[in-house]
Amino acid sequence: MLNVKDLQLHLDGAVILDKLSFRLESGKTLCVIGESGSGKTSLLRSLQGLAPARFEELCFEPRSGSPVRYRAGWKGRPGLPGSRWVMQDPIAALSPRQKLGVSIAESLHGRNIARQDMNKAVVDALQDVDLPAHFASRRPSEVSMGQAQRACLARALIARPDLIFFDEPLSALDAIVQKQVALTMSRIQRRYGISYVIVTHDLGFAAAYADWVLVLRRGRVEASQAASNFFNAPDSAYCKELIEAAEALGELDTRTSADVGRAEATA
Amino acid sequence: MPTDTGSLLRLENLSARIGRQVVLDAVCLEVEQGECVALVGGSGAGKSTLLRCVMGLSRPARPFGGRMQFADRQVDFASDRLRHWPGGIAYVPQNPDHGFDPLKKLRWQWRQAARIVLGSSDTNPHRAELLEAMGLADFGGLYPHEWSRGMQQRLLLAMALLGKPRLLILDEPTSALDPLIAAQVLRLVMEHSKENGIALLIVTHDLSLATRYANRTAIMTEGRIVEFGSTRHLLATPQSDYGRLLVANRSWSKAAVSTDLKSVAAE
Repeated sequence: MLNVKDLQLHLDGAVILDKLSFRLESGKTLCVIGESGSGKTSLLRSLQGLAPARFEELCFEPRSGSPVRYRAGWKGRPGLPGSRWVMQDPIAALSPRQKLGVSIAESLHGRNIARQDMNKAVVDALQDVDLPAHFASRRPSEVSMGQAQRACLARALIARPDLIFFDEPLSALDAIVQKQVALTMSRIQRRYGISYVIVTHDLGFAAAYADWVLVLRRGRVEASQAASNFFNAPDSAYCKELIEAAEALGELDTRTSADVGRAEATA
Repeated sequence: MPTDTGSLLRLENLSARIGRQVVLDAVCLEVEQGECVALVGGSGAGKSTLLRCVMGLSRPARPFGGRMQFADRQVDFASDRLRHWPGGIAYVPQNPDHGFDPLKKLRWQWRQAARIVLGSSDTNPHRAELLEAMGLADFGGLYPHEWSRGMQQRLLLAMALLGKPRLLILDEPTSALDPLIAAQVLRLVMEHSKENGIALLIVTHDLSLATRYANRTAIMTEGRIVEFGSTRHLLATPQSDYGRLLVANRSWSKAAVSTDLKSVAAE
């Protein structure tokens, strides 16, 4: 549904992204991985039309509505209608003065929906992200990081997008909350068939949730592989290094739970 | 592995409060010579407050009870002031932005650290040696921003090691760095502390990181240490509710995703 060919981004003469191509199928998850400064966030910004990127071709086919196609030479800034964005820091992404319900409803701005229906939609969206309905009247300062990130997810979800971009959605959360929010994300994806583009540097998360992995390094594609292949047989030495680093940090546990049990029994 | 046994740091019933709220409640912790201990807990558990108290800082949380033994020194948290604090404790903040003044040259900051830790700014022999151990070139007349974050973090580490500490405290060593650099920094710390018999106290929200490095792990929640014991034992048989939750959620697993999807499908 999303097909990107030869995306290039130059800023002040520096090459930020160089000849990126990838495709994403409907209802699937693409994880974009890379060290800091490799262009992960620039890629999201380019796709959203926030950075002056150039494309050979950018094709987006939402399930409903007409497809969008930008071709080479397109001078305007493209954006993808029907896509939403979930940011890294949920507290910064929500207005501190607005109640969560108002922030969530804002996502439907311009759709001419009656107030009653709007309220119902907000309650449904909160339910979808496993938050109780009374959270609609709370302010960001009155909820935890995990709850705030769930509210951001509700805000993206309420518009029934075809594609959600996540910029390190879990890195502000602690280890247990990360896993809970990730489960909610995958449940929503299943229920509504939304495609995800997730920027992350947690390889453990990618191993559990990604269908396709795109590794960036200095603005170039280092690897573009199905997730199952990537973790068993990475394309390049650099990817192998990444996987080893994640193992050293305990992010990626290649041992199965049976192995751990055995090691503990013998110890 | 501890080379010579005997406790280096022993906290007894440390309690602290911010205003009227008690944020640390009778915390006991022990670190042996040359040992690596991990302190694991979610956000808001009081991990950083505990660290600040151990370093002798009484703001924003004010310790009001408890004693600390460090090497052969006894400190009373309620009455002793920072200037009577024992030396030999070094700290590396989680983020190089908190460790360096962006407007001062690295050379100046190094001299400043040397003056405070060693009482003189003449540290040239140590400097070359330490920088080499951390895999860094000399900083000449550079400012912090002219080095990458990984290099800055390693320089902070070198500065922490300057006074030959007996206890090195790492606050969330991996959260601000990308995995490649974090793994490299951790490897350097581990090697150096093993060679020089430095005890480590790693503070993290991630149990899987702790299980990779720590001999013993303390689990903290709501200002208390609910569990403290050998990491292996804790993984096999967690005693507290929070400990069980942490152990169950310690790593990303595909199994959890598929069971969750099945339960959704069943609905």
